[in-house]
Amino acid sequence: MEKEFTELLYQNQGIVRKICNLYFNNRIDKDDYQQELIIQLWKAYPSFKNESKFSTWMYRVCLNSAIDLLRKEKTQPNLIQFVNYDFLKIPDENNDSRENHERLYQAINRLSEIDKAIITLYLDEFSYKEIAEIAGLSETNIGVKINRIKSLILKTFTNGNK
Amino acid sequence: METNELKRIWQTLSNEKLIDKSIAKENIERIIKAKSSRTIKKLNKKLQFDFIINVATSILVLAITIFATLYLNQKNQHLPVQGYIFLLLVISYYALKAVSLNSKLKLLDISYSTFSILDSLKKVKSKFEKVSKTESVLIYVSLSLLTVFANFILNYNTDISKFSINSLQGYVLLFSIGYLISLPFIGKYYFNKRFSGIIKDLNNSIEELKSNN
Repeated sequence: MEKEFTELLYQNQGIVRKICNLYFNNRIDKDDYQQELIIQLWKAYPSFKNESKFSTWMYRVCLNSAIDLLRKEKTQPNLIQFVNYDFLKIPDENNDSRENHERLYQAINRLSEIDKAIITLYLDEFSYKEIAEIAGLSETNIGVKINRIKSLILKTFTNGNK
Repeated sequence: METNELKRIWQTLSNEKLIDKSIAKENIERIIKAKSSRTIKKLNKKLQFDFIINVATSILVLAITIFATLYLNQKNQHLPVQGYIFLLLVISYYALKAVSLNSKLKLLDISYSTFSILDSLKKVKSKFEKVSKTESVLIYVSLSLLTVFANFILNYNTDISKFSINSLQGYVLLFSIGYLISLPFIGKYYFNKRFSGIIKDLNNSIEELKSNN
């Protein structure tokens, strides 16, 4: 089982790192958070029944674990070490795509934990049905939420371009 | 800007952030052999240390109280009423603190990562409330028994027919009754002070998910 899990995780490791970047980007010991997500995945692995794609299952476990971890940190906020991440740094003027990347990242980083989870799944091409299953909501509700979050992100882009 | 454009930027951004940071298979094998990461260990360690200190302090103060009472009883002397009240409050303070730390430790263990996000949040909230409630009841029962026990020791050599409310024993009894009545409220206040933020966050996330926008 360990070998099978290692192989699957190795192939899909981008998901762990993506979620880690999204939820814990401003932590000094970001690798520790990545490790915690991997440990949680391993602990949950016996529950993986091949009923869904491994990547879908991974997203579900990683998002829940990341949200859990943020809550757990709140029990001792003084122990958390943040990097002096400059969210408002001015992008390279000659590089439009770099500017767009930074803006999108900033816009997503400003969202709530829940909105971050939903928009990440959406941007990673999950269907409304899959997102609804991971979030535990109806497809209609997911549609409404995605539209609202997209407007928020686009607003940040527009404001940034002014 | 179109949605597809957002998706394209996201894909480029994700790939860019992942370059050169690949986790080797050997590292994955090493990581999964650990029971928890340094992040959780760090959170656990501090809480465990504080928990032990608080439990040890409350037991130590309790032992000193019992010892002093028994010792003075042998000499037909008593601690002043303020002394008993003070010691009881000190024990209660450390015991309540230990319970709250234990609840935090339990919170670090609660996880329902294989459920949907909404179900996971609901389950964490319900489990956390259950754990905290059980511990609050346990501490209330323990402190009640302790109070009864303190009164018993204090009145051990007293002739009940000569019991007067205008005596050390009477004052301690009156204080004990007031204390036992107010203890659930003190416990609730303490719990809210310690955990209202976490419960509020959980409620907010659940409400956010359930809302229609």
